[in-house]
Amino acid sequence: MPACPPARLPLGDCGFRYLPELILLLLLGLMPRHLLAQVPRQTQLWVLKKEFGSTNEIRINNSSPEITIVTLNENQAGPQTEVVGEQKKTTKRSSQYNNIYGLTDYTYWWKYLPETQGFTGMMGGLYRDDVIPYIFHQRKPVTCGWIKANATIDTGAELKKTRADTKIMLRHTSAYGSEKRGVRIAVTAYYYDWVTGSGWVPAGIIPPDQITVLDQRLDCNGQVILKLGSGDFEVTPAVSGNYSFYEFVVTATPARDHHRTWSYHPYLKVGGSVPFKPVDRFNLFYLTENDGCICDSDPRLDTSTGLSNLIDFDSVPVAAELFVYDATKIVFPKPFDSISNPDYCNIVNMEHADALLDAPFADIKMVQSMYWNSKWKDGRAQVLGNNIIITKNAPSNVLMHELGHNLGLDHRNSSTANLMHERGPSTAWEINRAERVAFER
Amino acid sequence: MKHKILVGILACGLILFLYTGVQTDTEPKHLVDPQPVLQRSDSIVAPSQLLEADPASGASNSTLTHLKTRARLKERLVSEGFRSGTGLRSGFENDAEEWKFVQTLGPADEDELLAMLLEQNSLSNRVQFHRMLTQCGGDKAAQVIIDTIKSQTGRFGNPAEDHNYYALHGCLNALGPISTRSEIARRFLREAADEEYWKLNRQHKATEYIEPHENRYLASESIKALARGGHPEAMELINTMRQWQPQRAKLWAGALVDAVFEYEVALRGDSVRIGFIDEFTEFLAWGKTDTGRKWKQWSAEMRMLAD
Repeated sequence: MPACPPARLPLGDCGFRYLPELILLLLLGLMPRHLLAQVPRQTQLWVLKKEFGSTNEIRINNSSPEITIVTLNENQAGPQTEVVGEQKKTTKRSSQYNNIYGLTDYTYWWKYLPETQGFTGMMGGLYRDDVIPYIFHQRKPVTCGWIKANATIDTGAELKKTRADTKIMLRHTSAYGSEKRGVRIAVTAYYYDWVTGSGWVPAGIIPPDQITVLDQRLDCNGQVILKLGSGDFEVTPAVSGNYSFYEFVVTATPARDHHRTWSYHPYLKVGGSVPFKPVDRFNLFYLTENDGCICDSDPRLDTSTGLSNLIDFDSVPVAAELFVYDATKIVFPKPFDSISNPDYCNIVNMEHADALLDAPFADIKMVQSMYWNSKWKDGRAQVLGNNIIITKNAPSNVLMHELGHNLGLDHRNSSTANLMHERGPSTAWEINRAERVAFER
Repeated sequence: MKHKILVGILACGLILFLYTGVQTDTEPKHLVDPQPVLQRSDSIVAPSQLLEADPASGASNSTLTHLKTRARLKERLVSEGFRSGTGLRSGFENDAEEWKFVQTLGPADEDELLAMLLEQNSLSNRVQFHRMLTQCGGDKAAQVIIDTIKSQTGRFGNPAEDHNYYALHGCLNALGPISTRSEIARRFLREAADEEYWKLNRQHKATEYIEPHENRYLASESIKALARGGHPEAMELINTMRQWQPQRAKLWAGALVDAVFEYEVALRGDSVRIGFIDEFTEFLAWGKTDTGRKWKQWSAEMRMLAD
């Protein structure tokens, strides 16, 4: 019998070596959804297929479609690669996982292709035998590099089309079941030029507005926020423009998830007007805004230049979501629960609002209405806390506005399009860079 | 000769007055009247009389002369981006803008504000004018608002849908600051702070589940308004009610705490301003003061009493 790993020795028997895992799985199964959400998500980014070949039947030696499947498990110790070809090498980029916030910095693998292959062909009077691998070999991108190339090479004798095609897939198995989640995909694409005598050399970065992922154009910061359900998605960037060879650096990060429990005044149900069934998830909200005007790298955003007003006024996309779950007490408990006395259903005293806000039975309390000092209120929230009061007819952006207060944000009245405007309409969703930090923190 | 000199001085004065009046037309900020003018008058102006005073319907000479010397309020409001007909929501873009404008209002604007108020076809659309009148309204405004309250009949719908319901309660709220300039408002609020008043005089009905509490809500609003006016009798009333039997006081505790807060706000001269800032944040801060803690503690004890 093999020796038990030290960590499992307390169990006393190697037959129970997987008992902790089994217990963990059992606990996960019983765990409430909002706790389950803290479990690392299984979003994976991997390269599905890598093919080298030519379309004119001139076979490259050892060039039968080379299929490399790299499954990138979070926190994995080593690559799982299956490479056809003898000469190979892998290097790894750092990987981090934040169990608290679920932010994932994916691990990418860079593979050197065989330095030489048996194919020879004439190009520009020169014999080249490793056109595509040469790029990889000569350039060692700092991060990931998977090539997608479409090249027409004129050998002088005949036209050869050489193609290398890499599909980049995103496997998304959300811990939220079938609920769609936001995933931020960032792409940097480098293009290469052919220089006689030097081969393919890097020539620059392809502008983000020439790149789409799942038909959505990248913003000026080279990213796009997609809303995806569970499943496999091809996220291979599509490049427009005339580029012979290029390579990508692709990263994927789940949107920051916020969690709140909710409860409602019992009269809402008596009146038949509870907007959501008690067992339902309340909603999923998804913020994104992209005017594509000012990039994060814009020098005007440098606070030392004195033009940092742009930081305040320019709206930016944000990947943040709010998941609302039923509280243990889905209807207000005593002393807030009276159906015969609507003091905590139609709130007209600040003292009542304050008491309800402080009550610990749920994070979000839904009431019929709030009105005092001749002013209608859609919601109230603790600053830097978890608690929110919201009226049942409040637009969805009000809940995110109040969440902003929970995250420490104040009102920002520079435009009624701002999410944090004190009286913004239901279409007010824009946030600036400082607010993005709060929402994604 | 003396008469000629006197006439000459008067003429110069008139010209100077008209000139400065025209100047202020283009500089609204010069119209700021930082000191609330205490206009106490026993004369009651009926809404119909106010409409008659409107230049469009044949105003008196003095009113016309006055309006000619300053920009029409309507025009000033338009230039500030104000929109009427926004119901319970302010017609200004934000609180700060609204407060900035409201501070430019003076007693001279009362008539025109009332005329605009009476043009509104629903109670909820009048709220924004009630709020402005907290800065400059006197007896005329008080009477119009009181008449409005008293004349309500029929049944209001659910407050979440029928905003006229809260607009009616907002009328009482607006009378608070107005009562600093209007004895009519103060007297009415003092009467209305007693639930019995509403039992005898209320003509309207609230929606079914609120109806049993409507008298209490109206009286609570009146107590808070009286306190917002900074009248010592409000605190006397509050302290008396606090001594009631706990089961009875319990129902009023929330409103009384709010009223104490409003009273302290009024004492520091902010009874108008509090309507145009984030009063809830101020309330939370007040709750951390000695007085606030004491009252909130009492209210919490009342809340926990068994029914």
